[in-house]
Amino acid sequence: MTDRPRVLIVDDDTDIRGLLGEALSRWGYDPTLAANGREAIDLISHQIFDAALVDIWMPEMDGLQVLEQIKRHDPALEVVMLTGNPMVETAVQALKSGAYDYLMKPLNLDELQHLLRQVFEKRFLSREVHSLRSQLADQLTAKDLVGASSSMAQVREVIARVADADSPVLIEGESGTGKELVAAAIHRQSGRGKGPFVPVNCSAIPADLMESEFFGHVRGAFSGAVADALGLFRSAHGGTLFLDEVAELPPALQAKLLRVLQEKEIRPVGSTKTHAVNARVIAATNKNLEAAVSNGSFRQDLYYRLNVVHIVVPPLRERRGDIPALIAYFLRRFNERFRREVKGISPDAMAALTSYDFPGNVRELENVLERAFALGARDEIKRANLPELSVRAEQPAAASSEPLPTLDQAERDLIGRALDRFRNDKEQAARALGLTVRTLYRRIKKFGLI
Amino acid sequence: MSPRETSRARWILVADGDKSAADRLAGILLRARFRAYPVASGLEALRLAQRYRLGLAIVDVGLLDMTGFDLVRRLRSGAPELPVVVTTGDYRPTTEVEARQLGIVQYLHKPVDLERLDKVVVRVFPGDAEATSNATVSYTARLHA
Repeated sequence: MTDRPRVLIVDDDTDIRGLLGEALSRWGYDPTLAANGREAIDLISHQIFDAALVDIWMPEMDGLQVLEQIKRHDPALEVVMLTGNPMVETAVQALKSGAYDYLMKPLNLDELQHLLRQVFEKRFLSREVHSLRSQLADQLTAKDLVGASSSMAQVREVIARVADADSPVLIEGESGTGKELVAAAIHRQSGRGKGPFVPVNCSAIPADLMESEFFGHVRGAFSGAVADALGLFRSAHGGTLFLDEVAELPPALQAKLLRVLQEKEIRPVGSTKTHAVNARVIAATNKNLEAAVSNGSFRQDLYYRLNVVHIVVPPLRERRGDIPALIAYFLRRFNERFRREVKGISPDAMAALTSYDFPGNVRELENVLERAFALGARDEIKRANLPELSVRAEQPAAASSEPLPTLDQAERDLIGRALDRFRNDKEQAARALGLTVRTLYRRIKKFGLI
Repeated sequence: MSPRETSRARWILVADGDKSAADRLAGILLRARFRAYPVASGLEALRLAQRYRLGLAIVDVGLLDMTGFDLVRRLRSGAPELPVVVTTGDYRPTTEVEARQLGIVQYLHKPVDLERLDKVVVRVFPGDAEATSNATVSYTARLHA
């Protein structure tokens, strides 16, 4: 079974419920039956429906009340009213309360089929408008891939070439090089640009929550599952799912991801049904994924699936020529945010910036400049506004005549520096050092670094 | 601020237009010895973010003065890497699609599943894994008892 539109049928007449249920199943919908208003309200508050057919005349809670409750809960859920009594007032009131349309009983099934088709066309369009709106914020970052260097020109060229191919893409680059910007640019330039762009950092999701995060769950699948949830894949339907730090996916999820890429369908946790998914997958890693494949921590078959198109984003130190353009870009942005008018950067500050190695890449440059603003830079950013740069820049410059440190000293120093750089975030520090968090903790204890 | 600050020195923002819900969740985190700060307004949340470095933001879709989505966008413009959990009592799929486009670590329907939230907190603050986990879980157990 695939992802069929879910339709809620609310009617107190058992025969009509059964008839409608059968007809809708035949037409490719997934019907759910409710015998009264209360049942209907309970269902819509915990499950996701695409449309509802509601009888106007029902004992206890009438159809108009049900309509009102449905609209309060989900204004986008389209409701078709069914009435056995052609009273104009009721019909008008139903339309005023937000019903999509109404049909007279006895029902003409052809008419109903036609109407439902219309409903789903409209729903599809409104989804598009919705995602367009949420895209406005994204467009501001579209220009973030700044740089005239040949390596960045090459990256932009590959983006333009692969955008419409709709195949998976693997983006490799050190942290802070802007892998997400590359993914977002591919998404925007592709035919899926109007659909959602859903980014997820695979290393940030607890392993035992991954399955329901990725594939969604149905109400009651586990004790805290109070309602149906789409999950990441179905949220990215019609758009792009961006898997950052894909190397961090645990083996069980790697296997499941591979299956989704092959079969293009998912099964939510606790559900017996599968749903077709139409999301382009773009993955990114700051690790050498090929090495992860050869040491067995990443599945080879998944690697081949993801690595249909390969893009390498160069580190900033390999394109120093782009630094002035990036500085100009960030100055404009920070001037707006901090309401300042910093016009430029002093020659010695520029020299320090263009000769620095930026292990944290573009993001580090951004942070350094932001701190300069926070430290009070006004007309011009001066060398004195970049204090962190001097400390870090001088560190590796050990004179050759100096005695070599012992391995322990060097290791202690390196770990201390990593902890400083990531502000004591052990997970990031461990990642940067190529250690497991556990090993890092052992070293910290050994060297008494806390 | 000491350069060797512990991760506990980082704040957890709990923003919810329903102030009592924010208070309750922040209370649970405080008992697990985190610095949690409840707010009902987005502007107050932004003020907090200017003053302290946030380690995690738990943001409800509905706030008093702006949407939770707007707050997350504004928090991220100053801290692009900030992990965000979105909570909501709104079970509509369009809401989930919009939330997930922000790049969040968890999407939680209300009432919030505290065990699930606990796992996220442990993941975000790995250094305090054991202590946190026990404290929150024991509190969770008491809540459900």
